[in-house]
Amino acid sequence: MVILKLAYRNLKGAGIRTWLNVFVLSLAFLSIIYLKGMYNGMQDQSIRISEDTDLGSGQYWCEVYDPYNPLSLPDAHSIIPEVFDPLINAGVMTPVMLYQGAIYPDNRLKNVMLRGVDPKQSVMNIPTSELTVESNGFLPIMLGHRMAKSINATAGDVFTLQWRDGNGAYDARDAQVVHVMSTQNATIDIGSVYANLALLQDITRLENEATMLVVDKHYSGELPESTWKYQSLFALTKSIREMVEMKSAGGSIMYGVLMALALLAVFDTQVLSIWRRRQEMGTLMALGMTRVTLIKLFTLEGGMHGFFAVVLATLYGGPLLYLNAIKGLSIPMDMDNFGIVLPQTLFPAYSFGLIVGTIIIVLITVTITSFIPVRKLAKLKPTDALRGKMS
Amino acid sequence: MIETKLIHTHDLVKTYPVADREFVALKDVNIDIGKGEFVGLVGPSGSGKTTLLNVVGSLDIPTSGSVTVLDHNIGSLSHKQAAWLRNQHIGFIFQTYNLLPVYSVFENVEFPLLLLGKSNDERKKMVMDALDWLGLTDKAEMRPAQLSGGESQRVAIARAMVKKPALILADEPTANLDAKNSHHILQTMEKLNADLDTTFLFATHDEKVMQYMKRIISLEDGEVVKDEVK
Repeated sequence: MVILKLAYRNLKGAGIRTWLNVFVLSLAFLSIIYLKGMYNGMQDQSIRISEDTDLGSGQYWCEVYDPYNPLSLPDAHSIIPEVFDPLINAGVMTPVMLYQGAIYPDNRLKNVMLRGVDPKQSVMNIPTSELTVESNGFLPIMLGHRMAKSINATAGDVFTLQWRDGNGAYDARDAQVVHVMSTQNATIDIGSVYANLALLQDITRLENEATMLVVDKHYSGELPESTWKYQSLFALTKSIREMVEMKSAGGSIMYGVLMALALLAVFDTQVLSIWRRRQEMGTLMALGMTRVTLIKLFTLEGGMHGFFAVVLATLYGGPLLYLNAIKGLSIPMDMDNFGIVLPQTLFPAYSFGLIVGTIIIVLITVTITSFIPVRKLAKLKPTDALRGKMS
Repeated sequence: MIETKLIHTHDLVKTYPVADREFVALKDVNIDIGKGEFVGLVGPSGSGKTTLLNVVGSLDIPTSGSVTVLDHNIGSLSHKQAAWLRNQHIGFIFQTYNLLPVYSVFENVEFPLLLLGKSNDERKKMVMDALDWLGLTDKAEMRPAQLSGGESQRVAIARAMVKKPALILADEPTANLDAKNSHHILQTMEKLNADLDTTFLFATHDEKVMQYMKRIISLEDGEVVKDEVK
């Protein structure tokens, strides 16, 4: 308790030097929490959006379907096993057919993925009910806003749609955009054209076939065994987690540099402090302070920079981070055109574990950094110190 | 005749390695100092005054011989025990005052009491008593940089005496002070010696200091050459 009081007095007495170090350290501390919170938020939201709009709580894939092998796509459909009928009829599972096709905007060809979905489904949070709109004999289709922008389409526009049916014969029809949906999930938007599943099955002559079955995210009952492969949400979001981990690792370099700069300032202050305060150390020893207490005092003085940094960061950074967590960070529309799931507004996730973990890391590293130059005091002779010498 | 021995040295030798040889700072020093004495160690620079003060103050250990302070054999004390002895029973006054610059006058004087683990109320009372005794009450909130040399040395005396130690060791306490302040400081210490029966051991070569001493031990080249009681 005494050395805590003394360390505080010494730090306070050091004035601007202390507060500069504390400020730099608090910036590093805040940056770590901010960046980590951003990546955590990105991961959480990306997974939630994917779960909500595309993946559900998991998917059944037909035997041939392999999203990482485009050559498998022409054959990636088969009859939906009867075992799934009860769940489909109960509305907790919905079939999706993925089928290759082409669209001709402005007299040019653009390959697209036709996504056949049940307009009545409620498993995926996308406005498939719009596909029931009458479209004057045209095939009703729906686009995401990114796709619409890329082909310069708006609702009501008509395009020629071409595909090869299940027998390999080319076929084409005029399709009308009945709705442009706004979605945060770029992976179900870019290059995708949504059509009524029943109509798609009809025009491709693939009756009652589908590529996958999406399970409702709220469904927690038994899932039947089938020849179709079940993919859990965890497996389906592996790429999102890997991407965020990769970005997070990149971010680590930045806050590692920031932290190193702040620690360097603390280390430098400690070295300078020991050099300048040799006579003071001798006086402290003459007054009855042991070398161990002296080491503790100087280490604590350095370590308290970390503590003050946490307090300062809480004072000015706390409201900033809170505001950031409430308001979020707007992501420019074009940012998510790379095909990764990014929300339009990114809400950082500052978990209790993240904050406490970062505080502990900062305090430990600052204390270790403070201790390193102080170790030499273990050999300090009081008579040398009083003369301003270092043993 | 000394009634109670506070300091006893027997064949005290202290050497330091200098380059490739040993420098003899103290050579067969045999002295006894009793409770309440007001003693000056005098001699030219390099005669061993400060070295003897350091050994008696348990800041250093003898190379050979023995030094007993308050029944503690300095040579056999661990670092921690030596620190305890200084903390409990010895006060130091330095030529350069050695006040802690970032502390106020009050905090400087309070420091030894913090190490002694005194309570808040006890500390406050003892510090204010010491400051009052030395006429520094109005300077309590000042920093050392705001004080004159004489005031700084009085703060150093307050710090040394606040815990009412048995022994105060003063190394050239007036070397940085003018004549008026030197006399003031010495009168203060003389009064302290008389009122509290505190033993004072000075290292000095200042004539002004010597005239206040009741006993003068003269050192030359590390040896006691004269020990006279006035």
